[in-house]
Amino acid sequence: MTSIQAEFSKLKRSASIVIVFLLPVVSVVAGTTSTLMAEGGLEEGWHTLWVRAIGFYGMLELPVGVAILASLVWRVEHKNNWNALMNTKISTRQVVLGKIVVVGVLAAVMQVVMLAVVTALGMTLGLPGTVPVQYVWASLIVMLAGFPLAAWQSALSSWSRAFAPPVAIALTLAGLSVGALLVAGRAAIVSPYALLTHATQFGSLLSGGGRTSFPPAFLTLDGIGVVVVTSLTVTVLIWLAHSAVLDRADIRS
Amino acid sequence: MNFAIQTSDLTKRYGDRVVVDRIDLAVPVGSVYGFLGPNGSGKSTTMKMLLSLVRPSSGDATVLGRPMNRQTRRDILGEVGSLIESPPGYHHLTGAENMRLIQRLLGLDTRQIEQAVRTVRLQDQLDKRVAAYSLGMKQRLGIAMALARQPRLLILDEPTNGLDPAGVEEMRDLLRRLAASGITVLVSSHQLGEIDKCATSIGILSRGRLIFQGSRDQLLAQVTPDVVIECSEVPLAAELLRQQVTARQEGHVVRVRGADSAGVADAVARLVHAGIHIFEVRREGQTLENMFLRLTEGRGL
Ligand SMILES: Nc1ncnc2c1ncn2[C@@H]1O[C@H](COP(=O)(O)OP(=O)(O)O)[C@@H](O)[C@H]1O
Ligand SMILES: [Mg+2]
Repeated sequence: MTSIQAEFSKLKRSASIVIVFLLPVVSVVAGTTSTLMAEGGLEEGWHTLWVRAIGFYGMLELPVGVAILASLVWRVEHKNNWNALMNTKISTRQVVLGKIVVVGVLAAVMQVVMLAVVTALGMTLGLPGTVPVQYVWASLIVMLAGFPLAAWQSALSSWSRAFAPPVAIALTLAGLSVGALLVAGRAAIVSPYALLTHATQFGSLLSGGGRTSFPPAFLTLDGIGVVVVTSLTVTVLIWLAHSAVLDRADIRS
Repeated sequence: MNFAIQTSDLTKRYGDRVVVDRIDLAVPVGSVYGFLGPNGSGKSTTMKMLLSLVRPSSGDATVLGRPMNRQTRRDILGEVGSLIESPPGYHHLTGAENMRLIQRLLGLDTRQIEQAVRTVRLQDQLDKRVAAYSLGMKQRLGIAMALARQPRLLILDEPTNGLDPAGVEEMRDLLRRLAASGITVLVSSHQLGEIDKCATSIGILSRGRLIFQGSRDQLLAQVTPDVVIECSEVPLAAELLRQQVTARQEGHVVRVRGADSAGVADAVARLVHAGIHIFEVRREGQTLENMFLRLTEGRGL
């Protein structure tokens, strides 16, 4: 518990806060602009807005955002704190858990910001009412599904002293995972990237057939259950494996 | 005697390279142990093995009476403070925020934090960001972070590195005060002069081997100081003496190494016999610096 608190106090004056707010704003605005310009505009109101906003965000920006956050969170350790981090009575599992939680929570906050930006944008554009509640549920699922990727990217970033390689890996694997989702469908969600992208597709269905590239994930008990169980299982597995590897390997600083 | 650290045949190999070579370290409880050796001699690697950050290729280490390994390390580390290579500290946070972080992480009380900060005399600099600290201040913050847990053993890797003479003196003073409070300190340096005056025990590492271990006096007693001869025809004199002893020309004098009284008498007789004028013969005050250089250059005592 204390190592989780400690991780949050390291966020003060950190660039990660900027990422959490900037990335969804830029992404949503960029993702919806072309739709707004097109002749149809927001044909199906909130639904069109959400589908356009979440599309690339779920496939690329969000996974890459998680990767950047993980690299930021580990960067301060690589700089000069590795030895100190590993030289207390706090167990490696606690240390690793602190990192997973802080990256996962930042990613979750990013989703909240995304939802807020969509809501604000829709209301500014004069859409009736507010964002449909199904997208609030979908966002909750996305927030949970971010944790396996947070754990995985955290592991990569603890290994790489350089900032960029884990982000480049995220870019590549996120792309491949989109392909895997198209080919293999839901089975692809063993990949944390695919799991997160899959989660962003919950509720994204337009009656007009215009939708994202994937078969939509329905907000059914089964659909949600699979994502929840996979998220928890994969997170715990990566957490334990990463801790074990750190405990066995020589320190490299 | 009681030892805070004891190793036996502690060895680290990277591929074919032996970086630390079968060392038997013995750090007495309550001592300031100066762990000396030139850059690359294996000091940091040894310290990392003592903390089980690096796994020994063979041999083992006992720290505070317990075998140190991957299973026991987190337990033992509750009583060990350390600062390895660059000083820790989050640069984007202030000194106070860094200390609070440690406090929360290790469940310490405010009194422990304040005491650690006062010990390193950083209480007036706590509101600055660490990024704005001088190297000396960063070192002291790192030590405060290690001290706050009130360790029985402190392992400091080159805490004087990069400090100006005043900073070095301050660090020496700090080490003395720590020792006086009963903490065992293992402190490394690649410059002997920086810590020998406050060290009660000394270990010298050269190319991974522990070539000396003992007290400062024992170290001094192991060597005969050089004899310096001022004379005419210095090159010829050096040439003549070299047939008998280790001698070399050094500017306008001849330096003779390892000669006892009889050896000096003999050397003088030779020179006089060859018609060389002798102006002065003196034995140098032995400095540990000279010795350290000789030892670590691998020329032996
Ligand atoms: N991870 C490593 N892999 C290979 N060689 C290493 C590694 N760590 C240290 N060394 C080598 O071991 C030697 C001793 O290094 P080190 O313990 O840092 O010496 P010191 O602290 O006395 O300067 C150096 O030659 C260094 O290059
Ligand atoms: Mg070193």
